[in-house]
Amino acid sequence: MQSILYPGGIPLWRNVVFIQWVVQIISAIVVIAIVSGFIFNVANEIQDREIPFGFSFLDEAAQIPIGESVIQYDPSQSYLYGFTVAALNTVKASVLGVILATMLGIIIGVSRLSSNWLLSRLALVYIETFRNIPLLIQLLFWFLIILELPNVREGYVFFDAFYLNNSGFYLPWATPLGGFWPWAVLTVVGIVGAVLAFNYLQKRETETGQPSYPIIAGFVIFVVVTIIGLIIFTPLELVIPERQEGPFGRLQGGARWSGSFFALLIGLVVYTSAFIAEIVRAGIQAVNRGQTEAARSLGLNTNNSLRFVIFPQALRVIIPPLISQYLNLTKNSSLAAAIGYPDLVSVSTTMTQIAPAISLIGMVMVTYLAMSLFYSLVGNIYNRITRYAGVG
Amino acid sequence: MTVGVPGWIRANLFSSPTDGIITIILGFVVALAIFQSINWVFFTASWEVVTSRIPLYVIGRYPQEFYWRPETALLLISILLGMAWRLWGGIARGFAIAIIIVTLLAGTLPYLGVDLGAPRYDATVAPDPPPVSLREKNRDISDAQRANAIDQKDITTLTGTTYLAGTLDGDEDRSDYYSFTITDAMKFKTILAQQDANANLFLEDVNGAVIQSSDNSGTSDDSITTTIDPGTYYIRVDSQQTADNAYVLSYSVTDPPDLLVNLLFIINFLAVAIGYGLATIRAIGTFRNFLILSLVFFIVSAILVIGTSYIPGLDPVATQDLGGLTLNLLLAAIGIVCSIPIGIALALGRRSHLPVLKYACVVFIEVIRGVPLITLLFMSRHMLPLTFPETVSIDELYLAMITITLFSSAYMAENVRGGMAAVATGQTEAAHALGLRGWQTTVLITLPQGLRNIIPAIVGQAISLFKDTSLVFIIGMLDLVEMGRVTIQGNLDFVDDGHEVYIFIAAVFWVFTFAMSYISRRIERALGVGRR
Amino acid sequence: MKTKLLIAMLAMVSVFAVAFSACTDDSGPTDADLQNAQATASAAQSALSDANARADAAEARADEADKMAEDAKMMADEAMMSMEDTAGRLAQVQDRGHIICASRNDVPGYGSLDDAGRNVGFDIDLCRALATAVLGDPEAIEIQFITAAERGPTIQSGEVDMLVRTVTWTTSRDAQWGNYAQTMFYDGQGFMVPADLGVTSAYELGGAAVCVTSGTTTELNMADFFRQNNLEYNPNVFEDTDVVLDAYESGQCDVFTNDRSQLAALRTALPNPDDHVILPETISEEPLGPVVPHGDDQWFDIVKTVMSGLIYAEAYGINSGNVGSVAAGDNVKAKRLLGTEGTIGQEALGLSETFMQDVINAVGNYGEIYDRNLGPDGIDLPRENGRNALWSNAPCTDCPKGGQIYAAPLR
Repeated sequence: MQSILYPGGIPLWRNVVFIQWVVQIISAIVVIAIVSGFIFNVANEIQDREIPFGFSFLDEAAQIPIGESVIQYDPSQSYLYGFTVAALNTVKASVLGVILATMLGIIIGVSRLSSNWLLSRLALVYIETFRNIPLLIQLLFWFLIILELPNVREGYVFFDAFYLNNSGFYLPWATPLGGFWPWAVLTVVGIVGAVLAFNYLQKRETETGQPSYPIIAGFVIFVVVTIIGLIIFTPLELVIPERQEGPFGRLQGGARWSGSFFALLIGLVVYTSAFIAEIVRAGIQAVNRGQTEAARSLGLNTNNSLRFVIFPQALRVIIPPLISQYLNLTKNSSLAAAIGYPDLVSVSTTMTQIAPAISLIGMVMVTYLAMSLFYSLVGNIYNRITRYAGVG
Repeated sequence: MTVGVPGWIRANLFSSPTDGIITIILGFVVALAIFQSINWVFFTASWEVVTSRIPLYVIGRYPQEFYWRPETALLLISILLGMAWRLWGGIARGFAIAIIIVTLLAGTLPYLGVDLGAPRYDATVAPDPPPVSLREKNRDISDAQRANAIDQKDITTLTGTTYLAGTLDGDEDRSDYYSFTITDAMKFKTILAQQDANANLFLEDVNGAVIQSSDNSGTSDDSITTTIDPGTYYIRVDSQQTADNAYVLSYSVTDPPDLLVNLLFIINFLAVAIGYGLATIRAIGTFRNFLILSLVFFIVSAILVIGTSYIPGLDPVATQDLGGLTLNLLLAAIGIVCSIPIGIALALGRRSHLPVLKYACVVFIEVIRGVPLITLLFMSRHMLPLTFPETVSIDELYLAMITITLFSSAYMAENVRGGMAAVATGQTEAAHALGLRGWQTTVLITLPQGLRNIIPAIVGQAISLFKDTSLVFIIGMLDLVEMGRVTIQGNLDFVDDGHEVYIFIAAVFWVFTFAMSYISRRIERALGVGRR
Repeated sequence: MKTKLLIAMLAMVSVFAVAFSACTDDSGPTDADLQNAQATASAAQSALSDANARADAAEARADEADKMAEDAKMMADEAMMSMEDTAGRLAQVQDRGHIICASRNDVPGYGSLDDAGRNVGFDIDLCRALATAVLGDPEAIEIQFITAAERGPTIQSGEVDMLVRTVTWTTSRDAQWGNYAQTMFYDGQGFMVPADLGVTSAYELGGAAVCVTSGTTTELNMADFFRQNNLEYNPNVFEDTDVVLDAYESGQCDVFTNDRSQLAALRTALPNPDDHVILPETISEEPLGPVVPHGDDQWFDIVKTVMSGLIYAEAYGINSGNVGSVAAGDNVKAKRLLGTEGTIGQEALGLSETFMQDVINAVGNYGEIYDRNLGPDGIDLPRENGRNALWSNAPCTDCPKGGQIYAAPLR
């Protein structure tokens, strides 16, 4: 192509393609130099100073105590297994935290816009209080509240099966028997069926305007299938907590959700929900006011206009910051060590007694990174699905 | 529609039955919570763990002879506040007035007998066994500077040597004497408490002449506070009863109030006034000038507080001595200010069409955002030094600054990216149509509009970063939270007073973050979010 | 478009530039210095042999040659010394002007802050003693606060001169972390329970909820103990002592396990100390003492000698009050320790002849350090007849004896 400015052809220094290549190469060199320099130097120094670094310790017996675990744990098991147990504890707290914080956050965020003066003011106070105090202090606060419960010997007992005291909530729990897997398969089938039914009925409701109760129908299908499975296969055995002999009155069997776990969960949920509430409020306010008015003029009541018109639109604004709150919640769960919940950071700290600290902290970082990337991935997928069609 | 208070109540609190129930339940809960908190704060809690260490919480172990430096920085900030008051009024006026009140109190209270400095010696002694083990306590009072902590026994000072055996047993021996010696002019305070029956307190010089006395009746506490010259003195406890009379005597010695330190506090209102005055001059009182001045004052303040070896008279302060709330504020401010340019660079990199640059930025941002700050700080303390030759050592303070800045810039990059994405495509197209080049469009059109969009987000990030700075304990620094923790953990007297410390810290953080979030909401409103 | 990228890149580069410029060169010895020193040394040595040869060859010029040889020898010595210096931590410390100790600030008696914010405690005083020995100034210390997980990396990388942070001496730590210089305090792990539970022995703790602070060998010992004795238990691991105390007082944990010295001290902080008993069993050995980085024998020996000096000072009855008169007195062993007669190896270690006088003047002997921090003026742990008294036939007359505090004799 002949240029008017450069009749002799575009000179190299104005050639876009060329310059882009140069920039690419230079930046690649810079990045590679920094990264490789970092790795080289560190590797060198680790060798020079004889700093133990490596992962061979992972197979050895961990010999450390872990207070509670999702899967069975014993100190004679390996470091890797212990690390997994701790990671699962973190996952447990963060997944439950994410779900509950979202629910509470939406309630508070909507209350913030309520017409009840006291309610909206209280929502504001809630947000400004819990958002502005360091989480660590809040966790300690909730932990102290939990400690106010009577101890395990004097705590509350319901139906001789549920125990509530300051070391936790003890409840009957099912342990899997032989028929577990067939039952699990059947349950999955039930869930799929329930979802299909829900979708079908929901669609019919919106198309015909006839009330078709999609939620109830889906739920009924799920419950019926599950119960049938329970009867046929007897997959689970219910274990009820029982009090042990001895001066300590320890409760054994069933499941225990420890006081530390509750304090952590409450703290994370309360703290994060304050942020989520603000996000929800901003999201709802970001929806054009005309939308509400239009919904009203179509005859939808407040509830339905919120549910079918405002919220779906607000969601588009809400989701990206919401995902980053999920990231924060997950990372914040690393403060659990302060109140005695054996999360990833807490257990790794214990492991550094003998195992190399740098390797362990590196593993902790990678694990958190994996969880964060998972949330980011979910967020990105959602963004892609809900993107406005035709808007670039 | 009814008006007045009943009308308002009906409209806002009891507009429907559900509303009414909600109001009543919430009202009950709120009343109970307020009652309980007041009860605890004023009657149950013991606040000594906080009041005895105020300077440590505010500024850490900063050397006393350098106190004028952070105070000067505070004056600069006050000038800015004064300007803000004039420019915007409202909340800025509130802050300015608050800072005037706080500084006036801080500057005058030491002269009104209230101790704000940590007592350099503070012990509670009962008459039996003899009061103190001397050598260790001696050094605490004698040294004018904390620098000489241990080899001070040659400078003998406060010693509870002359102690008359026996209790105040009425008949013969109705006075107990405690003697002490000081080598510098000091502020002396003694309290006589927990008496069984009425007893009085006297401070006498070496010849027995009474300098000051306290003769409260009954078993109420007696106390003496006075500034005394070097010399030997006696504390005399006189029983007024013929019965046995047990008591507890406590005494403490502090430096007399430092005139320069207090004066710099007291003149703070002048700085606010100067700022206000400056802003009334039309040429100076613009938003743009305010921003420029803020940046300049910020840099000057940071240099004043940290110190530098390049400017004589501003010796660098040892990293271990920098702490308390000042450290939190300093690190958060540096983190936010420095992360803005880096964040912009990263965001531009991430928006670039060149894959190498783009993915380098993406990886950096996602990795930094994906891991807890604790682990980043750990690695920066133990891995970063390994990337340098053994002879190069990086000060912990700079490690903290670098790590926090990098951490913040990853979040900043995402904010900037979001802000730029929100700029309407039409703007870019219009710029192109006007013949602007690519970089001109970015620098002149997209970026400024994007940055304006994200001002609330930046304030929000400042809030989180401020709270996150409490994690620098990982690299051994004593910020406000860690100082509180150390106070509790390291003293058997305080190990059961954790709640008071944490409530205090929570309140301090709350005040600052609430102020910031208020500003954020004001900006948001000014930008018209939610009012389309 | 492309310039935008350039701006971005420039910004990135400038970030790293800032990062790099933030580091301070502490003007320590470099490889170049070392090479120079070696070059000088070999030059001097060849000059020496040269001079010797010439001296042999021509008697007439012997005087001159001798003088040359002497000069050359001096040069060589100097060069060798500077070579030694560049390699050693002692020289680094003297160059730097202060000692860096990794310690803590959150355990009463061992390392904490007083009301004015000064570092105080048993561990801190050991660091001061070392600073006095090497630099003559007890204040020439920099205390770096580290968390439990950081102890290993800190001492392994050699970024600190000494680690004194209630670190239990274990074999794998000795192998991987650094060299343990001397046991300065013997501790052991015990259990505290509320008296009203009626428990009298650690072997009756089956089914208990046990609380412990994290990052100490305490956790591992607890796990071993319960596993070994087939006892069920619920472990609760907390970061901070005050939270453990809260949990213990509320009854969330039935048992609080820690080093016995800490238990004894913390018991006094509880509202009613008599309501709590410390069980008789000691389930572990916890020898505590300073650790130095691997790879510098001279430094290792210096720390050991200073620690020995503190212990023997008490044994010989030398304290901060009488150090001057003892140095001039007639106790031969004491005079050797104080450097007024004979030697305990100061010269070989690169310390001043009378360094122990300075040390005792500044921080006192072992007993004084103990009393100040852990004894009557500190957290009030009895020493009489305990493991931390001096050995049974220590030469002193009125010092606590019958314990295990013992060190390499000074000669």
